[in-house]
Amino acid sequence: MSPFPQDIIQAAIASRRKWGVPASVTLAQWSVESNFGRAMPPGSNNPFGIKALPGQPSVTARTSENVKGKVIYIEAKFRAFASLSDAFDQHGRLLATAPVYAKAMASKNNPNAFAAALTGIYASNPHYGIELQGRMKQYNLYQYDDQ
Amino acid sequence: MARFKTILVILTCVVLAAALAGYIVMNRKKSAPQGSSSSISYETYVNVRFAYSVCYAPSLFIPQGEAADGDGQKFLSRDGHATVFVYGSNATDQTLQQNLNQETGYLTGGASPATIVQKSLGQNSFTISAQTPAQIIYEKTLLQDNEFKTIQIQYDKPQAPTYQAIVTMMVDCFVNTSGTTYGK
Repeated sequence: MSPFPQDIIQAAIASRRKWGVPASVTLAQWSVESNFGRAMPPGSNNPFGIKALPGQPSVTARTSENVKGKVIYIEAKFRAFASLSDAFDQHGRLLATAPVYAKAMASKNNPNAFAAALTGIYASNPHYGIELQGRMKQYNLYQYDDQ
Repeated sequence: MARFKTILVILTCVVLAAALAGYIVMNRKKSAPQGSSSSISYETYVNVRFAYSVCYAPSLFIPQGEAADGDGQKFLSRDGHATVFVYGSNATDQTLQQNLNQETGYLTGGASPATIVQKSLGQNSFTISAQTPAQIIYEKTLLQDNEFKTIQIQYDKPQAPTYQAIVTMMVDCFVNTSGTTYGK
């Protein structure tokens, strides 16, 4: 049984049709970023780890560390979306319109090159593109780029 | 008497000048990086999404800002000879051993394949030391709450005397924080 639910596949295909982002890459990102939907900030509908800009709807993440016997709290805000389909739409919009992803969008007909171009920009992981490509091959996600 | 006063003034000036010179030298030693970790001041970067922290020396490394997904960030050395990546990821169904094998594969494959010098697998972490003809690479990964957190440091071989102590310091202070909680 595929770990990619039908509503997730359909949201990725809709994003490709509207924004041009390869559905295979979107699905691979969904699986990597949210651990197949199991690791999302509660109440956020944000499976892509997208951080919130000032004024955007958000949930607040918090961690703490002990500095010289004193507990220090550190916070970061992540986007909250009205629904998962809204998250896929905004994810597509981000990649299609933000100038930093222009190199990726130039490869929108080559999903492997698109995934590679996200490395170091969408994620700091220097192997991010390779990991996305691994998911795309493992689950034959390329099949959704033609639909 | 006038001659005595003149000598006294000269001596006073010499003593004051020596004291001032000593003060300047002492303060320069405190602020300038000397290439050893003990003479460098560090700041801490905390990653909230994946709950880890790492220290870095602002006098040596420039943080490049968090990536869009908040997994971590890259630090570039001011001299252009070293790069540090810190990042987290979901473990999905991967064990620490499997992640070690995967990371080893990444290092030994690709455009500039590295030779593995040493690998060490612990209960909740692993380390890899590797080399390419031009660079030394050190990587440490922690596993906590089904998440991997990794620091990877690369530096040019001729700069090893400068960076070895700094690498040790950064790896030692790369730790899990308390875990991440969410609220509105």
